[in-house]
Amino acid sequence: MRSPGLHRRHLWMVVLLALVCGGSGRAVADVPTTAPAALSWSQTLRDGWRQCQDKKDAAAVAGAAQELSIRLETADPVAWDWMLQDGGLDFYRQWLTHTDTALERGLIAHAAEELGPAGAALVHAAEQLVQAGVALDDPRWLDVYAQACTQRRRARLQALAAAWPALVFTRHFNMGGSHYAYTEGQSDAQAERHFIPGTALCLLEFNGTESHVRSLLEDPTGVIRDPDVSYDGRRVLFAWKKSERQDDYHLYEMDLATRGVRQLTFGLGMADYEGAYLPSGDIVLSSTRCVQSVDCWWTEVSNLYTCDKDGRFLRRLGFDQVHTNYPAVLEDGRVTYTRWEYNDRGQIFPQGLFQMNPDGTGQTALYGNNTFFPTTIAHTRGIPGTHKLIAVASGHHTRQAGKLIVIDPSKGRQENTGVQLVAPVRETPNVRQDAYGQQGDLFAYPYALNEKQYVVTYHPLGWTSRHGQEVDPRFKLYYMDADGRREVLAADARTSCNQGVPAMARTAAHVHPIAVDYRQDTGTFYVQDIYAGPGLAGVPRGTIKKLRVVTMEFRAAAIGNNSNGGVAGGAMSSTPPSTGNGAWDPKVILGTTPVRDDGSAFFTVPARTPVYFQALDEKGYVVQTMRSWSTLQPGENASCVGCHEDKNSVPPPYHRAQALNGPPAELEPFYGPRRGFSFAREIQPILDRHCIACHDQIMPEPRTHAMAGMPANKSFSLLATPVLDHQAKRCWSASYLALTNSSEREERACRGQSTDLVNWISPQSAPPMLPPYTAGAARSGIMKLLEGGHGGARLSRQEMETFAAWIDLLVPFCGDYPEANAWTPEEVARYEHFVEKRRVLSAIDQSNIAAMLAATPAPVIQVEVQMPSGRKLAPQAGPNGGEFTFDQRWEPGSRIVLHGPSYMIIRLADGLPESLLYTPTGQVVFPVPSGKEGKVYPPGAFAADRPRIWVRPAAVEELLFRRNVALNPYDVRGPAVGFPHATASSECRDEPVFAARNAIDGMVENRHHGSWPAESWGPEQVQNAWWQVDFGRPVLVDTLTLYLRADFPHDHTWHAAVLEFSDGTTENVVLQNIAGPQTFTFKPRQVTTLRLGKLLQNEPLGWCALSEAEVFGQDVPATFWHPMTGTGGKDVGLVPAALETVTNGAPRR
Amino acid sequence: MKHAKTRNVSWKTLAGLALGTGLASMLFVGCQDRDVDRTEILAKTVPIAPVEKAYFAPVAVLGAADGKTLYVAGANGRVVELDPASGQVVHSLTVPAEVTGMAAGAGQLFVTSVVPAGTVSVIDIKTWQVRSTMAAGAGACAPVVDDKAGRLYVANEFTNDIVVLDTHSGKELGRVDVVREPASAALSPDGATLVVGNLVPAGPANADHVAATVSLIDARQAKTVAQIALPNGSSSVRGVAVSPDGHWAWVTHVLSRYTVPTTQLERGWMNTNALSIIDLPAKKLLNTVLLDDVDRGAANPWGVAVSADGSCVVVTHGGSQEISIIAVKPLLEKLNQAKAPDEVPNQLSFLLDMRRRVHVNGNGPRAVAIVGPKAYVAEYFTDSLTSVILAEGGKPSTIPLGPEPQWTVRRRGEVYFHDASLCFQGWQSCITCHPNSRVDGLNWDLLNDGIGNPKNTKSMVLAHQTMPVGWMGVRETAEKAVRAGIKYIQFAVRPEQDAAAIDEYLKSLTPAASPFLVEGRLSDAARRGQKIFHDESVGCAHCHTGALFTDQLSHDVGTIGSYDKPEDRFITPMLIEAWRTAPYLHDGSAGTLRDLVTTSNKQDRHGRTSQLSPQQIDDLVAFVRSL
Repeated sequence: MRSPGLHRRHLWMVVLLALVCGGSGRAVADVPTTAPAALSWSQTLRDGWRQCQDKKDAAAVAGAAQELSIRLETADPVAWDWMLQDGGLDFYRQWLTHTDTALERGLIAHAAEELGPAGAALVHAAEQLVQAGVALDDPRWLDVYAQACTQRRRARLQALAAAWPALVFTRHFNMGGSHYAYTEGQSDAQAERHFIPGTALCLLEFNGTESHVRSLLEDPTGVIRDPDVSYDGRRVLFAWKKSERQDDYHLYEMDLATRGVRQLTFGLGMADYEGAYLPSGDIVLSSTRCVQSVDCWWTEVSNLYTCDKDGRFLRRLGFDQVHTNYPAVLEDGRVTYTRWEYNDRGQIFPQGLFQMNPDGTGQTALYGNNTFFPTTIAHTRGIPGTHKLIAVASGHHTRQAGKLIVIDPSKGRQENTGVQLVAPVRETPNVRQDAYGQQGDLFAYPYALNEKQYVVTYHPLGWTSRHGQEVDPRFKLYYMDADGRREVLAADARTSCNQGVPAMARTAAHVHPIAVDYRQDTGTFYVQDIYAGPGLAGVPRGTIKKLRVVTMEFRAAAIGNNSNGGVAGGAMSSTPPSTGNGAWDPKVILGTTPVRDDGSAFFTVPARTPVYFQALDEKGYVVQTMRSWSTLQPGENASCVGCHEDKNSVPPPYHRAQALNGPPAELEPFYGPRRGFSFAREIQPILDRHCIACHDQIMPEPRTHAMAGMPANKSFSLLATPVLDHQAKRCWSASYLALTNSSEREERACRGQSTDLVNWISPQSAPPMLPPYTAGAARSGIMKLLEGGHGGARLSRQEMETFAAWIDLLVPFCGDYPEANAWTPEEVARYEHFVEKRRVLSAIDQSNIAAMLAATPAPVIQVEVQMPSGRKLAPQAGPNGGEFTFDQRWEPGSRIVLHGPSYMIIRLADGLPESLLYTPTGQVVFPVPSGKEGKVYPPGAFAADRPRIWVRPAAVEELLFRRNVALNPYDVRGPAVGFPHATASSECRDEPVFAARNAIDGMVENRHHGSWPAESWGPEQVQNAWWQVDFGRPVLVDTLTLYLRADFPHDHTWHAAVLEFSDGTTENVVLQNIAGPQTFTFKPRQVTTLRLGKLLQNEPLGWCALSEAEVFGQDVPATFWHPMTGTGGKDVGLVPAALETVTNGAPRR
Repeated sequence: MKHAKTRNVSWKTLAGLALGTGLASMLFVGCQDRDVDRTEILAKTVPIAPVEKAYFAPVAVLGAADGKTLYVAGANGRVVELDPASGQVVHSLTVPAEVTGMAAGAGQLFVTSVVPAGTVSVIDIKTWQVRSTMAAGAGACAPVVDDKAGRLYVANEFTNDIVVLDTHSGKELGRVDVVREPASAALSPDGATLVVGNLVPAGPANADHVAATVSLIDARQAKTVAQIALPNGSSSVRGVAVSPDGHWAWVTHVLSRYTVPTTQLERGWMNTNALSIIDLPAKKLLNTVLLDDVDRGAANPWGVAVSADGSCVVVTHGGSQEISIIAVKPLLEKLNQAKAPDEVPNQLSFLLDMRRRVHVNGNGPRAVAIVGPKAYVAEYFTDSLTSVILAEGGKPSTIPLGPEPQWTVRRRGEVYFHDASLCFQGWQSCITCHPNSRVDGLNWDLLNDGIGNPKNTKSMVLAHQTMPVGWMGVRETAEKAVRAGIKYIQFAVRPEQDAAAIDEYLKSLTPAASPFLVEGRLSDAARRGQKIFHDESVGCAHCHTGALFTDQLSHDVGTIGSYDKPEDRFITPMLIEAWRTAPYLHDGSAGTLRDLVTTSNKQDRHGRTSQLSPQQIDDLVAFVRSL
């Protein structure tokens, strides 16, 4: 890590300035005649010029210029950037070929522009060099230029350094994948994963305008990102993923004074990142715990969550279709974030800015939800003292960098009305572009000091920084002003420097009271006047009779796909619930509510559920539909003026709404219980009753544009005949494909086309608001036919409304994702795996809420070491445990005593792994191993001068996901002190190195026998020996992996054994004499012990041994998903006491 | 006009006694003589509002035309002449406290005080002596001088009229009734039109249009020529200024969105802060513009001043500690070009690019004077005067009017009650709905008793002495209500000490003496009415009992309306200061006390009043409005 601080340069510069500028009107004689040796970039530059004099070929010069630029960018990024600023992006090529001093003089003049009289003096000094006839490659030219730059830098950084004497930032790879989001790199990612290890959390400190950078935390194999500094300036919150496959991003907090780090969230298979401190002390974060897959790709989705300062009560705030990212707290306490959404419209452009209160209430669009431009608004933060925002405008199929913008919502909320490109300030055209802002220089992660001055991640050359080729540039941390004046603050040759945040106390944002009542499961919406605003412009009052409230189901995994296209672009749709060009997601009609004569409505909706509204006319046809969604928190009362009203207007105080003349209306069910809208269940029966008497023809082959291709006098088939779609992996029906005018193409998925007969809004409709009655049942000829009694068909009101709803919901086929699937058993299992994962995480969410309501105290952890002398050492750590440090060596016979919850994550010495320990009593007494007992541990593990122990409560997430449930490096011989615990029928010579415990200590080394690392379970030479692991509580297991000791020829091998489960069942297994792992899978079982019994070996008997046994499975806190049956979770203190609340608030999704 | 005397019994003590024990409360039940005594005793002494002498509390600032002299009057009675350049006090004297306003005539200042009974102190600027004291009326405020005509206009906030005085003799030349609680006034340069802002709406709160009005008065004839209704929901009219050309009157007020439930504050959902522009020649409202920004309220617009050239209007925001500097020409042009003029009062970005918000240094900017290139803003709570250069740029500079005030807990509570920076996005403070800590005359659909059932704003006076609190008694105590207000109305989390300070402030509020008392005693009519009030066959005193005329229990007196549930019951309101807390009933449906006992009591369930003669009704009303 290189600090670009100007220490060395500064020292001689002070001298130089004293010489040149100190006395007014000093003559050229005062310009130093030789350059100080320290000015290496000047030397590099001049050397490069000399070496290039023999190069005539333009390509060779360009290559040399490129190399020179790269060399300087690495060696002296501050100076490298000065020359790009003052000489232009083509500077290095010009430098290598310049033949007179115009270039040098230009540099000096440009750099001196901002300096006033001091700048004039430097320009004068340059003129004197001209008059003195100083040669082209004389170092004095660049000396004068360096002085100008140094003075300029000092002036530029003055305000920043004074306001923010310290900044934290991160070094990590350039985020973003195939889209602007997707950087969770999740350990169990279904497809796309982005993770390039090598990272640091850094601190930049100013001394005057000099800066110094040091690493607070480095991890060559992990990624640290998203620093946020607490309002008191003492702590840094960040996300850290330590391994691509064995870890996921979780929130950590560092105490800046002590550098102590504590982990706040846990679990494998879920990423918690982009944490931000809330003024209440809680935290808002992005997380993939929602277990959703992007509609138009194969990638995990993250939504917004919140937790307390210790990571407790972690719960979901957003219930959003695809990604929500970059939560940032504004001064007034609102949380702003980017929300990507495309319900019933195209996916490319709606990545606008949203806002919510910290408790999740008040979720609403803040900027650009109905616009093509900006394509994506990323990395938004408030500008202090203003209502403006600073952000990065980037694209959709791009990474997380783009152009720097200032947003002023008071000027407008859509398109470019409130957006101003800055650095430099320039015209901000409305651009309709997927990959917006990717040409030229690139910005990311701005943090504004004020409206004009920022710290930002930046690269002047952008993605095409080398030989015109797209590369991954090393972004640097910059000071930047609105006019584009800039200075490099931090740079690194290997990774980008990102996410600069002031590391100092600041005024806490407004604290919003928590308005959520988790004891309720609904919220209310009040609409003052649905006719207000442009959504129903031109629609006569009285037209709207009802609002239909619809929710969407989100896919848990991506299986199969089809595609769509329209004015907003095109996309694939994974796990498609509809034919191509149909709805993105399955729809559930929650019900309808009346709209009063005055346009008002007041009604209840389920909380924590995304809902969107459709304004219905008297026939039940859609007049206007929302193509977005709202989500209420429990007990939230939300109000809006009208239908897409101008967000810069106030509710008109015209009258008191009729809808308020009574309690909120319960939603009226849509002909039966709430259910996913399934074509097979809703529409086909109507067809069967009224249509198939005539419409019974088998489709002609090949079926292309079914209806369009049919002769007018032929009746196409409306039969339920299944039609397999290999690519979509769905079994549609002939009737569905006919009505949706779907074409089946060779090897490609069916794709529908809206027609005059069945006319629906395209899933690729444009982001701007559509006029009323754009499409839908009201525009569908088939509804007119049916109204007219086509072919004698007389549909009931219910049938007509159902038919209309199907069209207005964008012709879904599936009422849920598994419906009508054509998945392989493996695909079914994969989908179910993610559904189950979602269910577990949703249950954890519910349990966290219940714990919060019950104000369940955090588990307390105490550690004590009892010395044989009777002395007790009891160091302190945080309330939730952490690192306990002892100031003296332990003695033989010392005992470590742990008090805490039943599930603890422990690590009892440096060099040993972390492990989950279960103890029903909450107490563990671990004898510090010494002598022979110590031979099964790494040498010196328990002999440190200042021993350290790490203990913390296990998080629920760590129990409920698959792992080796037998692992326990801290198991001891004899009676169990904690679980898992291993025992056996015999242990050779009673020696510790052959103890049963050695087979669960995590060491798989099996080519030797004896002391660590080759310790193993080695019984006497007997038949029918057994070895058993006792889990101490029920666990759900399905796989056993054995590493038999293979110290051949000393060793002998068992050839058969019986797995004896505590539930009384058995499995016979055959063992091989190999050194590699031997894995046995079996039907999942809930067990408390697993015995490897009846171990048989061939005669004559020899030494057989087991180096390691791994049992894969998970804990079974039945209380989570069977609240009425189990109490285990409750007993161990992991699940809050308020189980009834869990039951009542059972996961809704 | 006879002036009310003041009271000398601590209401706090008395009410505490009354509430503390059932016995004490019973002392007053059916005991007419005791009540008479009490009323009379109470009516005799003490200032009607506590003025803490320690605070200057500037309420008026005036600049001499030469730009070298400033006059500032403080609520505590101090009037000073300042040299704005040095900040030094050149002259100083003291007039009766509870100063409400000041006007400058040729060589003299006219300072209104509500104590002892609505007077004007005339200060000779040359000698810096109080030359004379004139009688005005109860709640005298907002003095306006017409030097040419030798007339002084004073608004009597409590008697709802304007008194015209001869500036030399102090003789009353005439009186003009206005609508309700006139608290601001300005005169057109030609002296022809007096523009008077009525603080709060009059009439029933459940009407279609509930708004404060601006009275246009033909000053020479001393008669009202127009009552201009501000937009629906207008209240807290605090500032009026007339442009130098006499064409426009600028009126500051709150524009409340009282018809919607108070689910949020975002985008001005509850209260917006407005500037209304009145076309004086046309005698009509041109339009009303919002002073707020989309996500930042400009709470409690207070004073307003127009620059000498008419190019700029300055509004002080008593709640958000700032001023707005508004360019007149572009504003008028934009208003003229507005395609949907009716929508203008609902647009939060209307003033974009034509208004500058400048934070002042002190707290409680109220009065403002423009002198030369600067606006001088009197900061009520910090006893300071901040000057702001109207042209772009420059930091405000501040002149202290005395030692830095050391706020008592009570004073801090008063500051919090007024300070909108407690509130999410600064939209409002407590005072926004409780002007003068009393009522805004509007019905609000707060969510504390469910949604869809608006209730009329209650006065904060004696709120801590009556419980439970609110029409439905949803809060056990006023202390709880204060904290609920911070949480649910201000959408804020504040330290307990802030709420406790607000408690202290509210507990310190004392009722003003009724202007309907005659020399501190009940009038003859009121005395007759008192008998009717206590007449068992009428039954008022059955529920309106005790020292505060409330049994603090809930009843159904036949007033359940369409927004209420049939089982709803309402707490008997106390009747102290009933003369100034209109409208009446939980839904504000009775605009006057007369309506209350006549048209609003057709079923005779709210006392048996149908058998009373018109005279008896008058007497009964006279009694209640004397309390």
